[in-house]
Parts: sequence; structure tokens; C-alpha cells
Amino acid sequence: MTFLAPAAAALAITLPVIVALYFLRIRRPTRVVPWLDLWPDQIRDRQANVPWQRLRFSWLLLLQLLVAGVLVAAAVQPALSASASLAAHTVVLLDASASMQAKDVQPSRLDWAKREIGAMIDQLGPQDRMTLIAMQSTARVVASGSGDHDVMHRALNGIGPSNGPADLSGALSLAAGSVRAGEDSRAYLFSDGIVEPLRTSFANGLPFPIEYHRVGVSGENLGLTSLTVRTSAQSRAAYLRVHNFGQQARTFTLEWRSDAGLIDVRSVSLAAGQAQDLALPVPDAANTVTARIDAKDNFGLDDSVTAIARAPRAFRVLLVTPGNVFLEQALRLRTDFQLDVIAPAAYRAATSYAMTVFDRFSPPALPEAPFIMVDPPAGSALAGGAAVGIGRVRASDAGDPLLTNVSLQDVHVARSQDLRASSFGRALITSVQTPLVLVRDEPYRQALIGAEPKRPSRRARDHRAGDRRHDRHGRATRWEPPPARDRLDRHLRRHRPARRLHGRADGFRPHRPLVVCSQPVLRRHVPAHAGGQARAASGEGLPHRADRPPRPDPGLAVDCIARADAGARRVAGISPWALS
Amino acid sequence: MAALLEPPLLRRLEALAVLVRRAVKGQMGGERRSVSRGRSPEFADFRNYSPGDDYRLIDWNAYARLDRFVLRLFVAEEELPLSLFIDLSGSMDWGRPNKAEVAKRLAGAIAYVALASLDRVRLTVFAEGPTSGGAPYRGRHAAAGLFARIQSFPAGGPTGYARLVAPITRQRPGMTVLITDGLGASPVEPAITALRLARQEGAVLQLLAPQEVALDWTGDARLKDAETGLEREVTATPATQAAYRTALGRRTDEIERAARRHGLRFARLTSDEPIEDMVQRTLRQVGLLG
Repeated sequence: MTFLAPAAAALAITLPVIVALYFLRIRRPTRVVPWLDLWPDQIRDRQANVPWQRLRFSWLLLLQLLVAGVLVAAAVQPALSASASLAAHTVVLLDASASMQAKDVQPSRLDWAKREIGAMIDQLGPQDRMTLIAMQSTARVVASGSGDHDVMHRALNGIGPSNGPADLSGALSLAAGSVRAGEDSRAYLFSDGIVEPLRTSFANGLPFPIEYHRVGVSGENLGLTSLTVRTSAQSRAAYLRVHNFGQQARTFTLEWRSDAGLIDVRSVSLAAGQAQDLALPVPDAANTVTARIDAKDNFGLDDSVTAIARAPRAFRVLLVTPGNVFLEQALRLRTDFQLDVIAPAAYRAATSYAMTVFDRFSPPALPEAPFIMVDPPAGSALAGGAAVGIGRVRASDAGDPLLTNVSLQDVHVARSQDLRASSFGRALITSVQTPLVLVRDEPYRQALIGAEPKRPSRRARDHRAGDRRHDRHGRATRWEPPPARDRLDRHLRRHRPARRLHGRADGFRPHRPLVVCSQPVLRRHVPAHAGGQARAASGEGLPHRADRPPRPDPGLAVDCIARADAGARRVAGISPWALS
Repeated sequence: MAALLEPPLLRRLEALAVLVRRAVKGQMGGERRSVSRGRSPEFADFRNYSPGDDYRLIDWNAYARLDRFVLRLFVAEEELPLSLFIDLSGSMDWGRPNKAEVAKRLAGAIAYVALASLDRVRLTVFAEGPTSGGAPYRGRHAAAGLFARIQSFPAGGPTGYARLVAPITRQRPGMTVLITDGLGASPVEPAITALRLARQEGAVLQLLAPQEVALDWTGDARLKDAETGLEREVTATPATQAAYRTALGRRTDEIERAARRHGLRFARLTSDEPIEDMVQRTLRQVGLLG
């Protein structure tokens, strides 16, 4: 039983007051009489001088206490919690972001939410279905439209916390796609985050009502949000950012140590919501630096941060290729690589390179050194079988240390050599059809890749889009096919610059110009580059060239902009290059 | 100060007189038959002449028949000494109308009846002790002074009937009227007994307020004694009211029985009765006035 108005329990003070009134004597009016002895001596005179009397049983007292007790009980509004029946199709969105590891509710926010969802699963009737979507940095459907309790419980238990943010928009898109039109459906969002954008914009267009269950009771958190080590010619320094996310000012101790020992301890004060950047020295001998604060909050994950403080090293890498700009650019992205590119004919075995990359070329004798062999030509020693079409790409061993911090969600392979018969080494990345990447660690780490990295072909894009035209259960989604690339290019050539937004009247400034086009297809999904990270905006509220004249403030709602990770881009059908 | 009694009432009172059952001896001449012999038109008796008698009283006709001197004696007409004892204790200063005020008016009415009959009126008020009202009043012209004197006495204090014994017994035989409510810790019996011992032809007039006779309140109250100031908490329930009425009746009966036992007149009055009703009806019924 819960009480809707527990503060009304203060009215219970009336009960002892009523009893106290019975302890107190009646204040009687004074009457003068001619002769007192005519009146019977009911009460002794000595008792008349004390203000209290012995409490005697009285039916009236009992009745008054009973009435007062009933009134107080009614005022606190007792209520019994009863579970509402679920809809025919229940969509559960579970926030599995890093903040859900906070322990302000036991055992943790995520576990608490999972327990609640588990109870909902147990309520599923024979005809009910449930879709479970985990919101991590990428939203993913862990169980779709299932009514099997065991399956749902297993899928729920498989959701673990991540160290990234929660992709709310992607999750809502997936949820919208999982619900058929006219179906009796309802969504439940379990999250500890801010939900105002959800209420204002996203929730309006959803085909089902959404119910928000806030997880966690405390918003107090003190976190180390970033730590970077910069090296100059003279010295090295670490830059630390501390953020007080709570509602109260905090003073805490910052401990700064390296692998060589304690460097510094200082006291830092931060107002509510304030962030502070600190520059800290890094000793020359240190390889790692660690900052730690005694935050004493519920979220301990961000109370300590470690950065590697190695001195930059340069590796010489040799790329032997008949010409592959994509592979070359990918390698040049590594700033610690000194890349030399030569043609296969010019290749000579040399030991001055830390690594050699062979692209569609196999030397007569493989070097006794680290190398990567990409798409070996047919007939060479490492060549595999005939090329086969590749489906979903996955890690051969999810716990392989080589794949730490590597996400294969965005990796798509159209075709690859058949490496099943290869004895080069163990499979690192594989698919249903064939292993894709083989590695061996001894005596030198060497890798064999059966596919050629290159610009995505139209066929590959269509292949990706096809993933979304029909979900894994074969049901058609609401999303339209993405615009063809040539159609997009033609549009941009014709209309550029359709609209360049360099900022809004209310102070919102995208990091880079946001291009808004009037093409109906494009109005639905307008992507833009912002800070080097792709962003997409829903078509809701965007200006239309035909019906809205250009003006300084296009009225683009900020909350319409959401992070476009791979899932959202796929949903929107737009690639980042289209508007870069 | 308002007049104690209204002139129309005074005129009607002049037709009345204080009734006594036997002749009393006064000090001065009046309209009352006296036990002593004196000059008056009314023959009383004969007696033999003795030297020194006024020979103007010799009945010469009797001498002619009997050949000896016989004196004719006549009834003396003298005044009636009337004493008024008015209770002005704290218990009398109570009620609506106030008992003390009604007692003053009643005493004034009786005194005026006596003054109009050339009787002598002595006034005494008492509470804890007696206070004399000054020299006796005689004659109708003294009524104004008597009324003013009556009105000048305040009411208050406990009642002490025992201290009335001395002033009562000092009186010459005559008429004494005691106006009191009979309430108080002190018993009334000694004063009534003293009246008989002083050969007084007396009357006890018990004056109560209507609120005493019929209670006009119920519920809880802290009662305060008008004379002693003592307090007592009482809840006026039917039971306690019945107990009160029983106690009041017992006290009244005690006074009445004592008065009857000593041959005194007794009347019970309530303060809401008009003075004229008290005088014309009640006091005439008990034989005090006529």
C-alpha cells in the first residue's frame, strides 16, 4: 500500500490533542450563589485548583478518536498498486547507457529497470507480444514481437550496461517500425535521462502512446568527463575536465597519480552544473596518468579516468598496391604512420618498415615481418577460393583483444574470397559464408583480408537498404527506399546552395553549415556534418522552399536534431558524403 | 436616589395599622391600648380610693350608692414600639429583583404603617453584626428620615444571627419584625428564641429571590458563595437541582417551625412580588397588618 499524500499524516497530531483535552479540566463559568451549602459537594475543592484530571474512560473520547483517525487515514490517500493490463503489443525501450550503472537504487539502475521489465514479461498473456529495445550508443532490438516468456527473459538478461550514451531517437525509430498500423500497442521507456525532447517532438509522431518510467532517485553526480595528454617539444601536460552534474555545489579532493606514483592532491570546488578544466603536469617517466576524485556519489564509473601518456612514436609503413586510394587514405588517417606507397613492381624486401601492406599483390617470398595481405591475387600462395557474397559480418571471438573498441556494426562486405580452406591462421572476423580476416601472431603478427576495401557500390548500398525495407521477420517497414545517389547529386547541383544555415537567432550554431533542401525526399531526412560527426534531422519542422520564404531563423527545432549513428543513417537512407 | 416608596403606595398604607394580639406598654401616648391606666374616653375599671389619688377621678355616683370613695380608671392609649431587623448580609444582595433592595422597601412600608399610627419605630440592620439605625422614629414626619436611613445601608458580609440576641433582648416588649432570607452558615434559631424571651410579638418574614426558588440555569458552573467567597464546582443536573431544592426546603421549614414554636408570625415572600401585594395580602393574611 502506498500513500498519495503522506504529508497529511501531520494531521495525526489531532489525536493526542483530543486526548489532552480530556486531561484538562473543564473551564466552568463562575456563578455567585447566596449560600453554597445548599448545593451538593460533587467535587472536592482541592481538585478544583489543579488544571488536569485523571483520564477516565469515555465513550465520547473513543468516538472522537475514531472519527479523527478515519479522517487522517482518508487525508493521506492510501492507494493500492495494481498493474494495468498490457497492450496487445508492448514495446519496451531500456536505457543501457553508462549512467544506468549508478547505484542510487539497488542493485543498480539497470538491474532495477530489468527487474521491472521482468515483471512486465511475466504479465504477458497468451496473445500478447513484446518487443524489447536496448538503448546504448546504438539502439538495437534484442527481442522482437515475442510472447515467449523464456525468450524474453533470456533477451532481457543479455542486456548489459555500456559506457556510452543512449540512442533515444534510434530506439524510437526502431519501435515505430516494429508496430503495425492500427495495432493495439504501447511503449514503455525505462531511462534515467532527460525526456523533455521526447515529450515535445518525438512523442507526437509516434503511432503508440509512450509511458516514461524514470529510473533512479538522485541526480547528483560528479564526473571526470575527459582526460587528454598533450606533448610538446618541452614538456607534457594533461588536460582534465571535471563536471558537477548535480544540483548542489561540491568540494572534493582530486588525486593525480602516474604509474610512477602520486603526483599531486588538490581540493577543487564546483558550483552546481559547473565544469572546470584543469591542466596538470605529467612527469617525463610516466607512461599512464590517472585522475581520481572522491565524489562519493552513486555513479562511480566517472570518478576515475586514466590516459596513456606515451611519447609519440612513428612507424614506417609500406603500402604495395597497384592503386587503391581508399586503402591509402585509411592508412594515412593514422598520424603515427609514415606511409610509403609503391607499385608491386618496385617492391623489394626491406626490413626498415614496421609493417607492410600488400594490396592485391603477393610477393614471391613473404617477408618475415608484420604484414597485412589484402585480397591476394588468384594463384598466389595465400589466395583463397572464388569470391562469395557476404552477409552479416561478426567477430569470430567477441572477446578477442584485437577487437577491443572495434565495432563491426558499420562494417559491410559485399564479396570476399573464400578463405575457409586457408591455413593462414585463426579467424578474427568472419561471416556465415567464409572467414573474412585471418591473423597469426607468431613469429610476427600477420593478417590476411579476403576483401578489397573500396568505395561502397550502389549494389552494396541497396543491400544495406534492403536490410531495412524488411525487418528480420519479413515485415515491411515504414521507411521509404533511400534516394539514389545520382538523384541526390543532381538535386544538389541544381539547387546548391539551397539554404545554408550558419546559425539561428536564438543562439544555436551548428558546428558546420547545415544544408536544407527543398526536395521532398530530402526534406524528410536532412543530414549535416557537425564537428566531424554525422547528424541527421527529422523532416518535422524544416522549412520548405516553396511555402516558406528564406529568413534568418528557419525555425529548425533544436530537438529535432539527433545523433545519427549507423542505425539512424540506415533508417534515413542517407550517407554522410551526400552533403559534406 | 429613587424614593424608597411611591406616594400612592404610602397613601394606601396609611389605612393600615400594625396588629398586636395584646396590649403593650409604650413610653408615650399614642393610639394603642396600653396595659397601664390613663386618660382616655374608654372606661377600664374601678378601684378603691387611697390617699394621694387624684380626687378628680372619684366616681361620685358610686359614693352616693356605696358611701365610700371609688375611683374610675380609664384605659391608657400609648404608642407601639416596633423594631425592624433587616438582614443586609451578602446573601441578601442577590437575585433579580435584589433581595436587599426589596427588604428595604418592605421594611419601609411596614415602618410607614407604624409611623402613620403614631407608633415608635426602631431600625436595626444586621449582617455579621447588628447596626443600629439611630434613635427611634415617631410620627409621620419622620418617615422621610427613616427611608433615607434605610437606603444608606450597604449590603454585604456574612450573616450572624447569634449576635442579634443581645439587641433583641434589650428591647421593651413590643412588636419586632425580622426580615431575612434565612440563609447562611449561622442558625436562625437563637434570634427567634430571643424574641420570645424578650416578650416580643414578632414576625419573621423570609424573603427569597425567584431564582433561588426556581433555578434558571443548568450545566457546569463554578459556584461562589456570596458571603464567604468560597467556590465549588457543580454540574447542575436534575439530581443536583433536586438536592438543592431539598436543602432549601429543609432550611425554610426549620425557620418556619421555629417561628411557630415561639408564637411568631411567619411569612415567605419572593422578591418579585410587588410591595403592595406583600403588604396588602401576605402580611394581612398572617395578621401582621390590618
